[in-house]
Amino acid sequence: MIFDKIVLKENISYIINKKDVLSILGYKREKTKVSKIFAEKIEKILEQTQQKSPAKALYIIRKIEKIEKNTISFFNSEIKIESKDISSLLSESFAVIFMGITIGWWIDNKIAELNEKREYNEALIYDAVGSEAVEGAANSLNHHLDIEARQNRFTLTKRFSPGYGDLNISFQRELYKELSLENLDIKILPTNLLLPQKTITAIIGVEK
Amino acid sequence: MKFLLEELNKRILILDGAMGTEIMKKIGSSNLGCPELMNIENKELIINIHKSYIEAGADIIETNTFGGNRLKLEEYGLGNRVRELNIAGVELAKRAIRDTGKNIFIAGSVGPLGKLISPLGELDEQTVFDVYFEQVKVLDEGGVDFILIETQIDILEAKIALRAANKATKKPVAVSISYPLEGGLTLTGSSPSISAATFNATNLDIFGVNCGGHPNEFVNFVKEIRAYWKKPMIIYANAGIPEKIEGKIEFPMTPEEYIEYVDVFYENGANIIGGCCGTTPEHIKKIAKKYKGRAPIKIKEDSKKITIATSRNSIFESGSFLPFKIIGENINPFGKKKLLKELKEEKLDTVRKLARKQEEAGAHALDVNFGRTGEKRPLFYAKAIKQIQSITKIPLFIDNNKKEAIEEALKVYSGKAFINSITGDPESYEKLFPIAKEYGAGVILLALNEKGIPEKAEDRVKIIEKLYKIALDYGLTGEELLVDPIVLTISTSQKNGEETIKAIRMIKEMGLNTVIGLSNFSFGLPARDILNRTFLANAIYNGLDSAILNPLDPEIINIIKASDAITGRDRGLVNYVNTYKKIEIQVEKKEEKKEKTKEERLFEAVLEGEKEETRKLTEEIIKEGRAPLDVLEEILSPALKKVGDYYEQKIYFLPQLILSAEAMESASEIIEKNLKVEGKTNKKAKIVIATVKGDLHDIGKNIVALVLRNYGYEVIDLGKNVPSEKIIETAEKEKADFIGLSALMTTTMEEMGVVVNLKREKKLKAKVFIGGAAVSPSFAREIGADAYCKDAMDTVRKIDKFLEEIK
Repeated sequence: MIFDKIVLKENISYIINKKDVLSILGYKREKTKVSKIFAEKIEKILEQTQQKSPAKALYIIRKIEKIEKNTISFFNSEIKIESKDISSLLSESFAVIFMGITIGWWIDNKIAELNEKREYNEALIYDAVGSEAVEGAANSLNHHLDIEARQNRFTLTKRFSPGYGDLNISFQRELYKELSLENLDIKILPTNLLLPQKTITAIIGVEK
Repeated sequence: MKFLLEELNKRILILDGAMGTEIMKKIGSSNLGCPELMNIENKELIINIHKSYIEAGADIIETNTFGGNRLKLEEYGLGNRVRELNIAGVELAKRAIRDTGKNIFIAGSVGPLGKLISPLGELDEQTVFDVYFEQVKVLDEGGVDFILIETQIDILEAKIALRAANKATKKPVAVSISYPLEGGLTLTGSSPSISAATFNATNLDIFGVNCGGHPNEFVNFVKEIRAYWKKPMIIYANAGIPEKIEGKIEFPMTPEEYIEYVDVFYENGANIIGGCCGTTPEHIKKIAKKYKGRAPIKIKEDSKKITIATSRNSIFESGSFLPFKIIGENINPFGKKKLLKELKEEKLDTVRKLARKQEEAGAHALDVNFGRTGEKRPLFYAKAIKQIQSITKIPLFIDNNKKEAIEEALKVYSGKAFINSITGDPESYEKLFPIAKEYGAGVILLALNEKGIPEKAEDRVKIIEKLYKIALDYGLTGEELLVDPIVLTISTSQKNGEETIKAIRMIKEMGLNTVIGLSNFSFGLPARDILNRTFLANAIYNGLDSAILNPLDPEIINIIKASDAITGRDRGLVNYVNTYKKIEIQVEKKEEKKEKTKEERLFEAVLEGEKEETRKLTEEIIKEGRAPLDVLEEILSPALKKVGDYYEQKIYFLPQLILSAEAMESASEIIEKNLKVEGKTNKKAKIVIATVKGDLHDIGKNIVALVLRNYGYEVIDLGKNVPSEKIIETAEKEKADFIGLSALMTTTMEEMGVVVNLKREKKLKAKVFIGGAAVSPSFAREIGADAYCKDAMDTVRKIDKFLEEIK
């Protein structure tokens, strides 16, 4: 594992969990009866998204300098995490992986186009598929990092994203700067939202 | 002659706009008759239209000869005047150019024949060839600078037209295809990618798209074409979708609107840009002003090295990073007595069955080998190719050794076929490479020559290196080539497997794609399947891209899927996971429909979310005399209620609810229109809805607005990222009864509190309801909103309840 260097990963393969897509859309097994048109539509959108939305990511591994009063600081970086939840997540860690991953603009554009055409039912499916796609991509990258860590006899903690627990969404801005996410054609809004919408930032602890 | 092509390297050329719609404007559509006849009878009109385009800045004008072929002219009883009318057409273009003193190009316009080739229509291939040949020959003599075969509706017809044109003239030829069918297809079902991939293998100079479809569809067409077509591209769209206004057909798009699309055409690599139906000199002027003389966008060199075959309806792409491709081997009489007997009797029953079965089993293409019968009976072989094409969608490999049979088959083949095969023997390649190029076919290069099959991989690769160079000289590229390093049975030498694998690796290093005939490997041995499967897995691992094999063996298919997963050809493991971990979506079984009344059918149409049907039936029922409000209350509302119930019982999932809502909306528009006529209104209350400032998520809000409208509310949708002041101002001005706010994020939901406070300051009575992923009932209480709604249906229920309370 390389420390203190931003790593770019392109064309990350990922699996879209169809079950989760269906559940976002309100599908209940044994209960919901889907028309054939919809079943086909969903299959088509899943396939299309895989083809048109390759995932790419940036990540960097920083060594922890100290954890003090729920504030974590790092060597060679200004970034600081202020969070009780993260402090406990990282209590056994000596380093942290900061990551940002996106499946790009294609699906955002598609959704906007469908909204424009008032094809909301399809927009909704794309939205659900996109959410699961970027989640799947993040899982893929996570697997990759897991294997790399294991070869170094390290283990990883679970993944944690800004906006969950007491890690404020504003931490996305710190991650944006730390990873130079503009290099993935990602934008950040004053409200700390990232565009394209199907973008995830996260941190993962590395334990010895 | 080459002058045009040289210019295209340097600058964008502006094509003129519509001829037909301009003529109609001048003389009225009812007086039109045969447009080409005007080249004799109304010369001034045609010259003036040409001049108006030249003055607008066109670099190319098209002759008024679109329908100037024998078949079309015959419809007006003018079939014997092809020569006269086409020559006159060219003369008028020349006159216009002389009169204006400009130095520009003349394109000889050649339109489609208007009838389809058999079995889809009545024409045969030879007639099509002859008719095009005749017209192009005349245009060439008349002195056009190039031939523009345009508005083509079928790729086979266009291919024959191109061949005829190439025989009739040495001048450059352009082919432009039209995709009028929904989803961007030609009349016979080919997409822009299929068309572009097909023509990229031919002797064609310029390819593109015109007519059919809205310019915004052209944006996708252009991108698709550029992914497969490497040479100059011509693009000219209609000025929007024609509308019938007071009995006259009008094209709605203004030059200002059209130029926005032209920008996208240019950015995606167009070289000739103009206008088709409904465009005017004003449109061309606008394009010329911006693009005349501008350098074209350079297209990126494609480094992917993909081999491509096509049929009318599908595209076969083989290469290092693509899923392994299966070419079905079963249409081959070797060792099949019944098939051999049928072929000798020129029967095709078994052939048809085998073709369908292999396609269903997952073959991506089919090899068609009729053994000696196929060599001896070229016309029968060609007929079979045509029949197989009419019942399958996948491309075909012409597996035949006789030049005559190959040529007959290629004449009728729709798409880009593959010739199996060409060897290192001059007898073979000198005959077959020119044919491949003329008909736009790909070829399998076979690693043997007149001396036989070399034992060593290195010697086989030497033959391929030589053949590859020759292929390039004939104008073929890697896209047209698959290399077969030859599989020999290991029953003769156990080294055979290893040499083939070695050859595969060496050929992949040359940047070429590979294919083998798998079954040979186990010839003469028991349990052949086991050997074949194991060898295949090894070969794929070493770079094999495709094989001619038996797709009816399910184990082979399993091995291919697994190999694709292991070698990364199956990106994201999509195929693998979809095949082996299929999460079935339970599909609703439909009951057979009995005779139902229109009212019942409308009820069901809403339930099923059939937009067009809903609109149509609503219109019909009202026309038949039922009161609009009655239709709304007795049929549509109960249907919608049922949809809502289904949704709450989870029988419907969200997309179904929304689709029904969309259908309902199409009915509501009609109800409203009719109510307006009657001077009534049916709105329950007025609602202003918005996604709050800072938040760009609007799907949820859009859905809530849609469903509310369905339930009889007037909704003013302000969109996303809306400042709080604007929401309140609108609510005040519109005297809204409710304000709906949406936010997805914890960071933006705070803005909802701002809206509530502003509302209080302004002392508005409107009730505020909020929703969105991050929002909760307690948050609603905290900021003083009147209700939290968990989804669209919940919103309807809560607002309905509010209204009842007020009453």
